[in-house]
Amino acid sequence: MIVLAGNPNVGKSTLFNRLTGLRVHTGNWAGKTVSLNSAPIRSKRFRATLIDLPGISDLTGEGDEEEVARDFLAFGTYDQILVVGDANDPLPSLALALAISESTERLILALNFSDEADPCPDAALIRELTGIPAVLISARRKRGLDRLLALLEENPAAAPRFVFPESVEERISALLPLLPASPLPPRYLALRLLDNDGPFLERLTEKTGVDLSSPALYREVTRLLPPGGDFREETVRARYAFSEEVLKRAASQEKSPRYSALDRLFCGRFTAYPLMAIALLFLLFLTAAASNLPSKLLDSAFSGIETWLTAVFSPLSMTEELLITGVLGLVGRVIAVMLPPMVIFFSLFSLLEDSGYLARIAFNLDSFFSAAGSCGKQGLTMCMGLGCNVVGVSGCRIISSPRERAACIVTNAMTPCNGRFPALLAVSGAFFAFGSGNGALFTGILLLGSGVAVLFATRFLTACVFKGLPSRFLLPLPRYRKPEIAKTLWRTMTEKVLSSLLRAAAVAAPAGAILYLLSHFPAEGPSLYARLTALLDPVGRFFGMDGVILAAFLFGFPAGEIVLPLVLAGYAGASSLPEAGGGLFPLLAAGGWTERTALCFLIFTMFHFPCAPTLFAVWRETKSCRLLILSVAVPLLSGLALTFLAARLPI
Amino acid sequence: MLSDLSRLLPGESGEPAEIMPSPLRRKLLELGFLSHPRITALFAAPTGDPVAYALGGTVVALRKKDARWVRIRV
Repeated sequence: MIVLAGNPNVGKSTLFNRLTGLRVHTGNWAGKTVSLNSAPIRSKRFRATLIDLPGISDLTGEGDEEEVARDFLAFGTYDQILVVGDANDPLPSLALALAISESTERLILALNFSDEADPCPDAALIRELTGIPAVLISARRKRGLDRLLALLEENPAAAPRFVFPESVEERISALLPLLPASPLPPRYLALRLLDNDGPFLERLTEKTGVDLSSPALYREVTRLLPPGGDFREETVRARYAFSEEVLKRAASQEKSPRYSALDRLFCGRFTAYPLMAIALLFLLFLTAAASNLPSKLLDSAFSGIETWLTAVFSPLSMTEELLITGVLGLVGRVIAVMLPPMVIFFSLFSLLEDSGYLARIAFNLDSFFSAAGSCGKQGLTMCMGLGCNVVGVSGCRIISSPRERAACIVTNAMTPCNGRFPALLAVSGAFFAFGSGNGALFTGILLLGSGVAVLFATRFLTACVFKGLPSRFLLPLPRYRKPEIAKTLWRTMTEKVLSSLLRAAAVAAPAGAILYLLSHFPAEGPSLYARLTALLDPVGRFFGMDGVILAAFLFGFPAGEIVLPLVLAGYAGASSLPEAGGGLFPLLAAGGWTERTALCFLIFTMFHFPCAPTLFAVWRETKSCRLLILSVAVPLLSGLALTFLAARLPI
Repeated sequence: MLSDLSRLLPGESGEPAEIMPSPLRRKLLELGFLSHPRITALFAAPTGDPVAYALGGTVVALRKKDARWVRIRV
């Protein structure tokens, strides 16, 4: 088993895909929510499994991802570690490799992007000077991969040449005789002890049973460390100084980054925000425009299957009709309206991500979110939420600070997703077109409104509910890079789209059955569904809507896409979902809608309980009942308060 | 002269001297905020905060209130 480790943004995933040929299996490690990809290496000469660790900047990381990576490196079982670095900027990777070499001798340093680096460091010289086998590669241009595979097959032992300054080495030697036997190198344990790395020592006892908390050791460590000194700083400095010396001799001149023309444009005072707005609008517009046709095709394909099945099994028994009309009908509809926009939106989004632009967006937005007690990365998770809140919630992993992460997860569903967008557009177009013929303008206003609401909710959460949780912000800005379209498409499908879609379909199936039963029983008189809407009617009126709308929201729990069709079905008294499109205004007006009803519906569409797959994602990401309840309560209460006001304010 | 990172104007650079005790200290250390020979302020966000700093070949954005913890010689 070979472990792939490295700093973020060094092309680790590309290398992973090149070496394994994309046969990815995703699994979890030790109960954490961070998933690790693993796959067999594609080589005729030897067999090995490659595991992709999350990006780490160092070995003391905080936050789930870094913790998982660090734990894996210290306690996991593996044959070899492949440290990936950036040939343009090898210093941090070399320092990381030195730190890793303290716990294992089986490691290889691969410097990626060697095609871009100018001048390029000399791998042989690095190996000679550090004792760590090094190789230059370019994962995207497929260069140096043969050499890398040969090195992996050989699995040479590193013979690190690096020693700490004498003062550090003396302390290490003083501790060595006192250490109990353990599977980890004693030198490494001594360093962790001197580092006062409490969490590590706890995990050590938990994983290997080795207990380093004896009084004798403690006394010795306290004696060796004069108060006020910072041991970690000393060791980090020593590793960097050594790495720098090595790189100087390996003839690698660091190309220092400059204030590039692209940054002048994308982060410029006058250009940054207009360009961001254009990018976002372009993203939404392209998604809406390009997904229209595939959605229609999918929809007719599913109704084709439905008709065919009906014909085959005709006459239908009760159960067959329930399965075909109820379950298949709803699942097919959800897939048809969800799949195309998600694929297109997230492919475009990933292209922006790979290009390096997304980090700039977080950079530009940070001061606004900072005022709300959060950070610029929330802007990115909100953008992901525009595509799908499930992805938005999972995307909150990029936020390492626990307080901000919790607030971002809770407020994510307040950003209307692709599933709710068509309803917003259609109803805005029917009631608030302002003579433009469509609802784009009003939807834009609503979007801005939802952004402001998210900021307020976040402010409230970070100031009152999550007070005391630590908060920090550090944002690496990667170099601009030309994205790879095929790879991006693949990653989007496997990482984001498929899982969300499956989950939505899984929830839609039982919901379809229930909906069918409710609207077909009892056979005589008003159906259960009609009775439910009548029951909800006074509540709905209280918030400027009616029973049909509330029932539609309740049954839209599996997927927000079906709320508007359910409303229309409710007014038509029809048992199945009618075709969307056609004149919306007359249908809704016949249901008694005024502009005020429309406004309340729009507000409630943006702010109500998150859909079932999103709540599932919240649970999976946090395993916290409190956050789950807050994720329902915060948007729902905001929505109820706003509709209550909107229903009564004299406009 | 001792100063701190937040006072660098875009384009200016300094030699890091120490990092004051702060929640970010560990993270800053490990990213090399003390180990690189020079840190350059590259450019600020449109609102003036945060600021992007170049250390060696990497660029890292820091808020001004956090950049204050890094003492530099200019």
